[in-house]
Amino acid sequence: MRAVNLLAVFVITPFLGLWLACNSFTGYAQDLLLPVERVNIPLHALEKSLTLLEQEMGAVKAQADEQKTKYEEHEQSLSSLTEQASQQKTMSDQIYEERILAMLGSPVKVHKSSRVEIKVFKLEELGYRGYIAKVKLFNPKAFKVVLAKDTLGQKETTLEAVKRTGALLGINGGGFYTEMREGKPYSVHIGNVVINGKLITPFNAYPGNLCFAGVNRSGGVIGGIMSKKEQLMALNPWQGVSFIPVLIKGGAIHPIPAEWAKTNQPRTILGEYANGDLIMIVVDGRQADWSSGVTLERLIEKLVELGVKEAYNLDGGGSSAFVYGGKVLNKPSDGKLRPVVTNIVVMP
Amino acid sequence: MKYAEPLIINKDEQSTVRPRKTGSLKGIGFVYVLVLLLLWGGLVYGGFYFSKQYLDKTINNIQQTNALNIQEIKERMESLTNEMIALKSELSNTDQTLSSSSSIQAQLNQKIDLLDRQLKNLEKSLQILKEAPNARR
Repeated sequence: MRAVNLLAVFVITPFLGLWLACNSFTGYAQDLLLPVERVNIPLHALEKSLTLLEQEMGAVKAQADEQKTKYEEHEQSLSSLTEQASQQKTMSDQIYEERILAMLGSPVKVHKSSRVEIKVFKLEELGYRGYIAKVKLFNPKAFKVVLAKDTLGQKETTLEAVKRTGALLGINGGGFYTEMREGKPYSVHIGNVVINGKLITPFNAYPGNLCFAGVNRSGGVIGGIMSKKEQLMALNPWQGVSFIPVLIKGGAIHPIPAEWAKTNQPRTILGEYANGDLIMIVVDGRQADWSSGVTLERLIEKLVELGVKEAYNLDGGGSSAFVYGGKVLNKPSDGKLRPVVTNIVVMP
Repeated sequence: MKYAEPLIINKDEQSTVRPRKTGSLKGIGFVYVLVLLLLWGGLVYGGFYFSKQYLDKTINNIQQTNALNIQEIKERMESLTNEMIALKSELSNTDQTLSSSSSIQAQLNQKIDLLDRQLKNLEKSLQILKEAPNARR
């Protein structure tokens, strides 16, 4: 019996061990579970952060949308304002043009192309007559100073210069004198002449009131008394001639020499309106039955009345000539055109 | 009639008979041992079976718990991924909006410059107009 009990103990003992092992496995089995809680904490934090980020992102987007809308509204407003400003400017320019034309009367000749608009008016005042050309340069290259026969020392009439160059409009240019060189007459321009941006002879620093008058590369009238080459070149001249005196500069009447102020003479003037339009005037003179000529004083009054803001007197007297469309419109005081050294022409 | 021969048992025979008694005892013992072995074997199998069931069940429970947890984490991760995709999309939209705003702002600056130029031109034009000649008629 003892042996049986002993045997039973021996037989059962391993199961006891097995039971203990199983019990201990229960505890160990818990360790086999994934540590979800450890993942849950950062995951929850991440979810929370993401939610916050979404909210902030939404706010940023809403702000960006609002800003974009405002920008678009501003852009529309600015476009509208720009359009209005442009319209107002156009209207203002038109009114100015109308006022100028109201002063000049009806044009007798009109030409308009892609590079120039020319309107020719008759000038009929008490005691003097002449012609006015209002020139709107779209391309400054349409305005040219032409040296007689393109050669120094030569002379040609304004009509010849117009025909030779194929120009539409022409007036005489700067002053000149003739001397004998090697037994032959040689005509020399006075002062400085600029053609296509270059002085045709070395700078002439003639003292006194001799002034330069021409246009710059933008087509605006430039001029004044030039004592130094740098002074002239600083104006960026494109074309120009010289004579005397300055009549109106920067809208102000320029003091003129007394001997020029009081005598009635045929005149040639180059000037500019405030809007940049050129004005070329030729007044006939020395013809009692037609036109006695005009003093520079009276001419300045007329120019101011017309609204001219810049004006220079060019070579007058028998040289004054106004050619349009291949015809001489004015009546030169010599009864015929006088050959001159420089002419100003406007291409069609 | 023959009488039966008297039973003479010599030592050799005695020794032959005694083992017969011991052999049956051994047989009984063998049976006991066999029964005990079978019982032990049954207990071993039962223990094995019980333990296997217990361990399988426990591991299975753990696996299921882990699977459920992983499923939950997976779903949350998917949810996070979707949220991040949505966030990315929103970020992209915002970026486009900001880029567009930046572009509009650049246009706005150009428009301001243009307006400035137009106003200066208008000012100049009005100044010119102010000095325009007045017709007598």
